[in-house]
Order: sequence, then structure tokens, then C-alpha cells
Amino acid sequence: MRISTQTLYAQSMRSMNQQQADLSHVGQQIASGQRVMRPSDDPQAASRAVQVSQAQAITSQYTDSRVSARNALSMEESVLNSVGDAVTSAKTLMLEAANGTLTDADRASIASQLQGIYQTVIGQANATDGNGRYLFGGYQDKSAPFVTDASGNVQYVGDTNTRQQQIDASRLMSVDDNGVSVFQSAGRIGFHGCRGQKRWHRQRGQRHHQGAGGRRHQ
Amino acid sequence: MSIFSIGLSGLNAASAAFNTASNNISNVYTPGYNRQVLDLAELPAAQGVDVQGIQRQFDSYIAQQLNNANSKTSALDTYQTQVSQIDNLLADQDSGLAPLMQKFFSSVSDLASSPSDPAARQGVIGTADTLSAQFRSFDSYLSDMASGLDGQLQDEVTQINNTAKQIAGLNTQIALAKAKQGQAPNSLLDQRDQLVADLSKRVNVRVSQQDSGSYNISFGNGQPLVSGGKQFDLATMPSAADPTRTSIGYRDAAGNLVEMQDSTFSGGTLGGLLTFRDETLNPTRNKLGQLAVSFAEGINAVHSAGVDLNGDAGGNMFALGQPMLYANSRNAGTATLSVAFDPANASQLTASDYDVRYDAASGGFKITRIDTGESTTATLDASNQLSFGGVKVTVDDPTKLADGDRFQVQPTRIAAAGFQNIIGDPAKIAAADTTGGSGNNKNALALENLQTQSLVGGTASFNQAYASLVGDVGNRTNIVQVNLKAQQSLSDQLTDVQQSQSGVNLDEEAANLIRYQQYYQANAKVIQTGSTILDAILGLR
Repeated sequence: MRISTQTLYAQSMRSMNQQQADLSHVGQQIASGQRVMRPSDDPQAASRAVQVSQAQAITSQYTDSRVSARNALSMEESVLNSVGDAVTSAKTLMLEAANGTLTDADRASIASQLQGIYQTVIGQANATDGNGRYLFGGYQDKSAPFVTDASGNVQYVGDTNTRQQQIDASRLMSVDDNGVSVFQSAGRIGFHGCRGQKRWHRQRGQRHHQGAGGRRHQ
Repeated sequence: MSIFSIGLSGLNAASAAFNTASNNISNVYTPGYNRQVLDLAELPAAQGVDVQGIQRQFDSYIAQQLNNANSKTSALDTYQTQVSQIDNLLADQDSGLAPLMQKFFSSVSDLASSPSDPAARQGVIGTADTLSAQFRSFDSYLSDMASGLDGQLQDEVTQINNTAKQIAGLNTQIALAKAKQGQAPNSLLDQRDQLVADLSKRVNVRVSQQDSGSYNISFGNGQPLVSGGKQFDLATMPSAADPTRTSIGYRDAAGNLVEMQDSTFSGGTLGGLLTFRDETLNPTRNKLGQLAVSFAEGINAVHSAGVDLNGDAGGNMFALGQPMLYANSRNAGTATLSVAFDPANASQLTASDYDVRYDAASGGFKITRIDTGESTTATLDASNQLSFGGVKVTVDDPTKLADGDRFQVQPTRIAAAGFQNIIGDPAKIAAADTTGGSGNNKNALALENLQTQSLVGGTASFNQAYASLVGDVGNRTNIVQVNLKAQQSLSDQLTDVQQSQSGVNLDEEAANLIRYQQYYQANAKVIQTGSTILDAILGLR
């Protein structure tokens, strides 16, 4: 074949351009550390990458949910622990008060201690998280769930809902308890000796179980 | 005396040969130059040599093949340049839509963990703002490309008209020269062929040579662009079906501007631009719009079902660009049609545009999906409405419709452009279900759940839809790149073939120069010898 002078140069230029383009592509890959820099480099991979990043994002979203569920539950647990302590001391005081050798003054002192414990428990039942949200009001977390009315009786003004959170693709976990289920399920508000305490212990057992594995789900 | 005339004819031929070689050398890099070869013939009765002419080495078949190949290459090259811009837009995974949708849902999840926390509520507003801004900026990038493309179409049309005008002018000159001298100057022919080659890179045309030597140039559909010395103009014009779309119009002999189908132009820059617009740009905008509509309608439906912090029912969270409907400018009827989203059939929403055609005989409408060509027929319901593809079309007065009236519906083209978060007050976010309560997160949970539901076209989640958009653009870009590579090598190969015939080789011409120098010297010697002989004869005593 006759080769024209133009062809001679054009062919070399073409091949040189091609090599330089390839070199620049590899250079970009090295600089970016990515094999697929643009979707056209590998359309399937680019599309998969979007889906994988979604999987990552949703996993970290569930991780965040679990952390916040754990925080909420451990806050509740610590409140319930102090309530438990209060109940134990109340029980001890009651046993002490049953002693017939006590004087009126002794009994008055015990009564005043019991009054203090009562106030403590009311206070705990109206506990808030660090941001002023009441823990035991169900969905009504803006105002104190237990209020003392004019005649001195404590009323529950929250609701009976329990907040849940999505902690993985298919599981909803309860992350709080309302005042009714914690403080009123044993009957009237007040302390019922061993019976109330046992019941509460049982609840605490459940709570641990939930915290570990998540009992309630949808 | 004949020895002098023989010698002289040789000298003339040698100097013509010398000129030809010199001309070849000087034009070695001139675009469109075809190598010239001296055409010599023997004079009768051994009277010397005759210069018959100077032939240009030009093969019209190879030229035509090369022009066709270049036309395709240039179309693919243009397509590739354009589509790469979308490819690059999607390249940055960190600033794409996917991470912003993820952030939105993650903020909704935070809201579910602390529904009364103002910071969590503000977080949702922030991510909703960022996400909708990204949708809009994505769309504005594409719409800027569309208007840039309109400008390029205008430029191309101007260039095509100029080139066609020059070819028509050369046709006249060449025909004239041919009539006068029997042959046209090579330089004019070279110029014209170069113009045809240039034209082929802008638009695909068919060339046929007339006996007069004129070129007739026509489009794929047979409409002439150049006919002898006459040239027909192209112009850009708004399409009859969709006034927002720029079409190519053809000014016919009567002076009317007739809209040409985009499919007429498959090659050249013009073809590349139109193909890119119809095949990638508009569908990508539609898909983005479809994602925006599905997202907004999905979130709005759930959000409206909830209750906000003030105890009021939640409203819409996102606003959208509404679907568009254009009546064909050639419609005979005067009915006014309007279109709106049909949230009840949101899952039927597609990324396609629709052609709606009224048929008076049946009283119904033929609805054609433009991307797939599938068509269905439908009749107006009691409230003069048509429902298809996730939209509802309302006819104001069906009696004003005329047979064959056409309407184009673009459900999602500008949806993303109007995508906007319309909640600014954190208290207005409806995290609660109808039970209410500041600690109620039921609706936030329902919103969070939308992220994994198949709300786009009823088959894909938001993220899957975006992934398919990315994959789709990637695929198209990739295919165009591969096709371009193959087509480019075909063009290169044909260029080599054309050059082997018509190109100048400097070494060859250098050898020719030496050859012609000797040729000249030898002929001079003939004359000298003749003169010596004559002197000898005259010197006889």
C-alpha cells in the first residue's frame, strides 16, 4: 500500500494519543484509589456501589438506633434501681415499725422516713432524661406524669403507650415503659410489701431480657 | 525542424511535471488536497509528447465511504462528549443523591428515637432541605445541558447552511468551467469535496453526482439540501408536539418551514446532539423526576397522616414540579386539557412521556408511551378525566375536541426542578400518629420505613431507583464509548485507504523531482543536439 506522508505521521499520532489516554486513565485510578471513577468505567459495579453504600448507611442507622435504645433503657434501669432501693428501705422500715417496743416518737420518725421514701419514689416516677423529657409518661413526655391533686392523692396523667424504635430491618423494640405498667400495675399506687417488690423484680428481669435480645417485635 | 518541436514538447511536459510535483509537495498538508498526476500522451507521427491534463487522484466511492464513516464517528463523538458530562456528574458518590437520601432517613430515625427533641426535628428539616436542593441542582445541571444543546443545534444549523451555500456556489462554478473548458479546475473540485466531507461531519447526507458535474445533496428522507446551484435552508424551530423542544425545520421551495423528524438526522454532530437528547438527556431528567415524585408523594402521604407537635394534622413535606401537557400546535380542536398527579395510582408513574391522540370515531383516546411505543386506548370517565401512568388528564369540554388532536404529556420532566421542602417550623413535623403526644414517634417510624419500600414505579426503593439511574447512564456512556472506538478505527482505516490513493508522499515526490530534472535536461539536450546538427549542416561548404 502507498503510504502518504500525512498517514505516516497521523498513525504515529493516533497511537501516541491512545497510549497517553490509557496512561492518564491509569494515573487517575492511582490518584483516586478507585477502579471505578465514573459510572461508565463499570456500570454494574457503579450501580452495586450505590446499593452497597445504602446497605452501609442503613446498618449504621440501625446501629445508632440501638445505641439510643440502649441509652434510653439504661437510664430507665438506673431510675428503677433507685426505686427498688427505696422499696427495700421502706420494707425494712415497715418491719422495724412492727416492733411493739417502739415509742411514738420512734414511730413518728419511721413515718417521716417513709414519707421521705414516698416522695423519693414519686420523684423517680417523674424522672426526666437530660433534656427534660419525662421517662414514664408514655407519649406524654412534656409534663410530669404523676401529679398530686388538691387532696394529696397522686394521679397518673400520662398515657399507656410505649415508644418503640426500629433497631433492624424487621424488629421494633420498646425503648421505654409508661407509668401505668411500672408503678400502677400492682394495684393502687403505694407500696405493697413483698408482693410489689417481687413483681417489680420480675419486671426488671424481663427488662434485662429485652435489652439483650429484644423480646417485642413486629 | 521537427527535432526542435519534439524537444520543445518534452521541455513543456517536463516543466509541467515539475510543476505538478512541486504543487504536490507544497500541498502535502493541505486539507482536502488530492494528489495530482500528469497525464501524458504521445503525439501522432512521432511528433513528441502532449500534456493531456493534470489528473487528481480521487476515488468518489472511497470518499463517500469515508464521509459516511466520518458522519457516524462525529455523531458518536458528540454523543460521547455530552453523555460524559452526565457520567461525570454521577461520578462523585459522596455528593450524589444516594447519600443525601440516606442522611434524610437517618435523621428521621433520630427523630424516632427522640420525637420531642427540637434538635432531632431541626435535623430532619436540614436533611430535607439539603436533599431537595441536590435534586434541584441535579436537574438544573441537566436543564442547562438541554439549553446548551439548543444553542449548539442553532450553531450546527448555521454551519450546515453556510457549507451547503458554498457547495451550491461551487456547483455553479464547476458546471460553468466544465462547459467552457470541458474540465473543471482541480482546485475547485478539491474544495467542493472538502466541503462535502465537512458537511458529512455535521449531518448525514447523500451525495449524487449529475452529468453536469454538479453534486446533489439530500437528507435521508430524500429532501434536497443542495440541488445544482440551489440550496435549501434549515432552521431551528419549536416542535409542534412540545414547544419547549427545539426541532430542525426545513425551508421548502415555497418558503414554508416544515418540522423534520429527529430521526432523519442520525449522523454528524447534529445527529449526535439530537440522539443524545432523545435517548439520554430527556429520559434521565424524566427518571430523576420520577424519583422526586415517588419520594415526595411517598413521604407526603405518610406525613399527612400524622400529627405534629402542635396536635395539628401533618401537611405535605415536599412540593414538586407539576406534570406538563402540551397541545399540538396543529390541533384543529380548541379543547383545553390539564394534567395533575394521581396519588392514588402513584405506583404506575413511569419515566416516560406520553402522546395522547383523540379519535372522534370511537370517542376515545389513544395513549402511546413514547419510550416503548406501547399504546392503549381509553375513554373519558364521568368527570371528563383520563387516568394513566400515575397522572390524571382532565378535558375542559370534550365537544371542543377534533379528530386527530394530539397532546403530549410529560409527567415527570420538571418534577425535580420544583422539588422543595416546604416545612420550616420544626414543630410542624408530624412525628406522631393520630394518638398525638410529644413523645409519640409512630409516624416517624412509618416515615423511616419508607426507605425500604418499593415506591418507585411500584418495583424499586428510592435507592434502587437511583442506583438504576446511575447504572443506566453508565451503561449508555460505556456503550457509546465502545461504539465510538470501533467507529473511529473504521474511519481511521478508511482515511488510510483514501490517503494511500490521494495523499502525497514526500519521498515519492522528491524522486519525481530528480526524475523530471533529468527529463528536462535530456529534452534540452535534444534541442541542443538539433541545433548542433543544424549548425553542422549550415557549416557545409
